[in-house]
Amino acid sequence: MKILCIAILNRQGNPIYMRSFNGEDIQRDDVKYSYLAHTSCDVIEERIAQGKISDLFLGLLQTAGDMVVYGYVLNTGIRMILVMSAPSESAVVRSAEIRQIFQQIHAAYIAMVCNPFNETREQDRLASGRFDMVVSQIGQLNTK
Amino acid sequence: MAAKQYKAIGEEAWKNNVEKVNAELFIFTYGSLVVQLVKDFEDYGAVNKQLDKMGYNIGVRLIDDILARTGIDKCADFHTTAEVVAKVGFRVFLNIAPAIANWSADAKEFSLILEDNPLNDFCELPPKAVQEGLWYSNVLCGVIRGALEMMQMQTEVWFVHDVLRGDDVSEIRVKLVKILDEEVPVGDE
Repeated sequence: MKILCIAILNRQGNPIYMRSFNGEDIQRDDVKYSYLAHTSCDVIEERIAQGKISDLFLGLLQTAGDMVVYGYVLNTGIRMILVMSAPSESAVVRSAEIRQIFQQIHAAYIAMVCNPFNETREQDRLASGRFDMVVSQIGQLNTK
Repeated sequence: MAAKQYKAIGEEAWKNNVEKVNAELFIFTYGSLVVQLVKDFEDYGAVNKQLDKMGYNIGVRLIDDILARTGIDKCADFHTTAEVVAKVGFRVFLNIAPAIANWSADAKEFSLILEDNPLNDFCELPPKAVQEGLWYSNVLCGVIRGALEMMQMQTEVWFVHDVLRGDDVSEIRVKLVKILDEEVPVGDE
């Protein structure tokens, strides 16, 4: 199983960060992942509306062809989406692993937000070298 | 007093005599202060000067505090001064222990090597700030300068390297310009 894309959306559902790891056809992939991110938004809203979230990890949101989408929401309303390639039959996906990946991204996000020079709130876009690096590292890992 | 004793004095003072505050509160306060200065002045050189001035005002007050807390007596020479600044001063106020290095031939200049500076946590300088020479922790230079001036030493203190600008360690250079002699009133002869 490979991580294909990590996307972060704000409360309104607008993507503020998108990073894809496939590398073959960036243009088409970006459009594809944007579409997935937007559709996942609806699922997230549903889950949030269901009741008080005790757990930040939302679990499997949807499957689309050969891709699976996991979601994670922060207390500030920021949503994180993880798009992975579908597991083969023999592989078992443990949600603990996915949860851990999300927690790493969450930690990197906190570190970035604490930067006094950070302007994510004003610009509505995430632009931080350090955050990019951490996300790249996470993306390089291929879960089995 | 031997070097080891200063280290022990500093650590003991930190453990017992110092009120502590949440590190994140301090870091965020300092960070927003620097960012506000950057927004107000828009010139990174001017921001550096302001930070130095602020540090100077802190230093002139801080020196009495630390001497009272630790009971250290007059330093015999500049080497001892360096020890006190590094092992006692930085330990009591920031709980870090910079190394002293790069003494000049005439023993009037030395460097403080800070491997980890708590002010830098979480901070990432925008590329423009790096290009135009912002020294994020420049307040520390002012503090050292102010404190030493109250001890009758006129110094120049400046940053040489900073981890936020991509260097391995942060380095502050301290140069003794002159000893300020106390003015002796001219007596009637």
